[in-house]
Amino acid sequence: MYRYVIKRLLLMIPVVLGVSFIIFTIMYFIPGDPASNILGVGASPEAVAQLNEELGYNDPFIVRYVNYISDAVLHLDLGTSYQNKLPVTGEIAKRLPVSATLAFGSIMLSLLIGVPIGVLSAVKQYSLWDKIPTGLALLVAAMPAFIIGMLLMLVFSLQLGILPVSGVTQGLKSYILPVISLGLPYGARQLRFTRSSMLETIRQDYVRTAKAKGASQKKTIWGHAMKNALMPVITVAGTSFGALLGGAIATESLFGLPGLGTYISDGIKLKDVPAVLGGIIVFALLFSLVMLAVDLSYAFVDPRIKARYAGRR
Amino acid sequence: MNEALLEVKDLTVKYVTDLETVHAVNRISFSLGRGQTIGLVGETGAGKTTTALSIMRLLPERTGKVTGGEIRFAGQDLLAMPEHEMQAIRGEKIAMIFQDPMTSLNPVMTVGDQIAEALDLHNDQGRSREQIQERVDEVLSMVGIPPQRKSEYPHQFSGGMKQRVVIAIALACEPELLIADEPTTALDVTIQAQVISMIRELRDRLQTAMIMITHDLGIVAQTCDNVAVMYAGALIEIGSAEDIFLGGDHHPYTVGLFGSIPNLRSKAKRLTPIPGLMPDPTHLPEGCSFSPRCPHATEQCRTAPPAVYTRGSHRICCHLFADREGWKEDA
Amino acid sequence: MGETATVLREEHIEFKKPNQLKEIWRRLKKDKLAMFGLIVILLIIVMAVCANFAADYEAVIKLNTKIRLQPPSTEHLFGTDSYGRDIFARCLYGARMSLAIGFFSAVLATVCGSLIGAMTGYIGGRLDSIIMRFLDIVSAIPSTLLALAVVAAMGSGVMKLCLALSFTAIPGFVRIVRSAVLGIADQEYIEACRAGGTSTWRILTRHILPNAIGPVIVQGTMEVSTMIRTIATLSFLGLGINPPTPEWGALISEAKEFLRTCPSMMLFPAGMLCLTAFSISVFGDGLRDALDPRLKS
Repeated sequence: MYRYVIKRLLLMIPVVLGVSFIIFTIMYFIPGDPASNILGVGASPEAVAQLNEELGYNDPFIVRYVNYISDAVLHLDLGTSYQNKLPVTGEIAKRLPVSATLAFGSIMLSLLIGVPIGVLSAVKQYSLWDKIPTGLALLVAAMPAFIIGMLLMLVFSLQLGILPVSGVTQGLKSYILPVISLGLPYGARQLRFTRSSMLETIRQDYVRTAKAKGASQKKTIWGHAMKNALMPVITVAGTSFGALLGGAIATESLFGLPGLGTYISDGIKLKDVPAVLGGIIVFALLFSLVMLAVDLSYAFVDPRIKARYAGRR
Repeated sequence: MNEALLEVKDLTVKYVTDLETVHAVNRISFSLGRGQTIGLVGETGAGKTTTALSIMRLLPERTGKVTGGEIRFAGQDLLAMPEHEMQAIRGEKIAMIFQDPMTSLNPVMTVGDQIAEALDLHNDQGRSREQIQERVDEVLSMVGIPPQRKSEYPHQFSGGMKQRVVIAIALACEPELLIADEPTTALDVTIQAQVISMIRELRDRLQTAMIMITHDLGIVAQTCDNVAVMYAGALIEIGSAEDIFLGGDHHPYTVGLFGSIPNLRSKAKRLTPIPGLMPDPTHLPEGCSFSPRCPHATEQCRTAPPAVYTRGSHRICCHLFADREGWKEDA
Repeated sequence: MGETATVLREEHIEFKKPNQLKEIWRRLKKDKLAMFGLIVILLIIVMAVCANFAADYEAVIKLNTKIRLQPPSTEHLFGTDSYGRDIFARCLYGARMSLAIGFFSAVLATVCGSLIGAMTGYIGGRLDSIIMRFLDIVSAIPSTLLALAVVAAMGSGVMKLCLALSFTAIPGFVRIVRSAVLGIADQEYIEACRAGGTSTWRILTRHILPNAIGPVIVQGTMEVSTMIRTIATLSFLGLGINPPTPEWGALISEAKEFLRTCPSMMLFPAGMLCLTAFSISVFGDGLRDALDPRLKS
């Protein structure tokens, strides 16, 4: 088991390196040079040229990439933001908790909505208990989170005035609307996956065996089927959590939450290459860690997978 | 026959989907005494498993429907029973062994827990946790598995061992009726013999009545007191083992069925298969459903469904017996 | 013996499939939600195509501050925006933009992804493992972020936006087609074809492609809905379609500041966007069930 974890951690290195390389390459094509960005429009061409030289902008592409990575690995230094001249690492450390809170809250909400209703609609397939939730789920899943957010904002902040419009000044209360607007569409997704996983599972022979033992519907569902249906549920929660860490850009932007997503998107708008690079690399790292956690959790659900992990060299 | 434990009368089952209606079981009747074994024989798709699932009331919820007849178990009408009473009977009074042991066990639950669950669900004697575990050990050694292995998961067992676990689950509560649905089809031939002799021995020891569903006539000969032959959802011949295996009068399908098995003692050069396929269960032929394949079929067979003719314990559903000596039409 | 053969031939004729497309259409027609989706999509397409007849493009971009931020009325069905432009006209022309980008990038992603997927799946070996590693890496970046980065590097413009969007969706198609190809190539009936001397080309075209095409069509349909939403998200963030060109996401973005004073400015384009995305998803869902009835019990 430990061997498996270590192996997986080692496998993360090429992925994160690959991500950094791809993004570095994409960023390379962004027009403009760092010194002009840092010094602003009024700077003299000499000063710009000198700063560019200092920053290593004139080095070949691959040298710049290697320097960047070695700084990142050896000193945890992801460069300095062009925009506010602050180290990227510190800025990310400050914003990560915001993103994490938002992502965690949304996933919890999506599980609370998706799993029980998903199970219910699978068990009552073809009835109204199935049709209404799955229809609603399709509708909600088709709505971008920022539209749900705007609707919620319209009702709860602007009309009723009970929740803050934007910012994080009111503590956890500021997170309520963003969490709901992300939790709903992801909950709808979770519902659909839970339902189909459950439908698949309740057709299995061992579920019939359980019924033949005299177990009630409730006991067969929660005692036998649920644990078997759990893997897709965990996978969806894991990928959603990963995606939410950095992917909630529009929601963060709408509610003025200073998270990782807005950091990266603002960086892109302002051609702040270090901010974008650093943000996406940290994101890829977190995403890989979450996926590892997902894979490990399979072992607790399914003894066959546990045996396979343990057997790996 | 003393008082019947199970009585199936005119049972009719259909699978209804929005596209078609499958006539899976058509008005079959048989009965089974305490401690007796009946063999249910027939080709795949003849309705054997459907019959078993109807008795367990485990037909697929949406599609499978019992549209007629009754099933009486120890005097109670199973089909009229509310679901929670049926749950008390399933596993405790009537247990079932399924065809494929590979998929019949829950992969994420230890073998011991799966046996204990059956005991736990029917814990009328108020056994303690320890007593249940003792019983699990007992049942496991009964089917020839060392009790230490109860904390292992199904994937750690071989096919034959898994089927032993399935049998252990079924017998844990010492049921009055055991339904074995092709318990050895999915197993290796060498293991098949072991499992069958074990089932037989346990049946004798526990005095359990049994429905043995199989298409293997050898197994029927070894285990059954009575034999029922099914074809296209209908019971076409039923009788004691002697009637079927030693008697001279048979339904043409039964004759064909026996002709399809290699027999080492007779010197026949080749097997005689029954020509054709079983009819499409969504559109059963008028008259006798075997008539399209029957070598003796007459015009009457194709138009009128045959009556049941009896001689002693032997019952055959075929026009050929209408005026055969010793056979009389069943009222 | 002769009799057996006759019976078998009869069985064969009896079970011969009716026209497959007809059968799929018949199943699809039964799915009311999918048909609803199809009708709505067609209606919106017709509206987008015929936008000229409902309103001049002039009305879409001409500023008229005298009538700004009006609620819906008979003259302006959806009201007017902060520059006094007719929201109904902007929504109609916005539909053109959103649908065009959505369809085009989805088709692009479907074609490229399927080709790459079929190639890596069929050729396998080193090429396959390199491409799959690359896709693993790309998948570690959320698609919105990736699209943002590509857009930033390439500069804005409708065409470039389509390229960026389709780039993010390609890995999904590669995986689907690759696994379909691998899964089918392993099946026993393909083994049987090979043993029977069927040519590779025939196996690919007659057995593998028809089996892979279902999931690809379904995923492609769903992708249109995803694309429309992604482009809206990008525009909402100010990185997609730039004003004054109407696109649903851009319209919603413009409405952000006026949410309190003039909610209709946001509600109408948002409603159109959600309705379209919803209709495409339900149609895709119905299509999946119709194409593969095994999935439905």
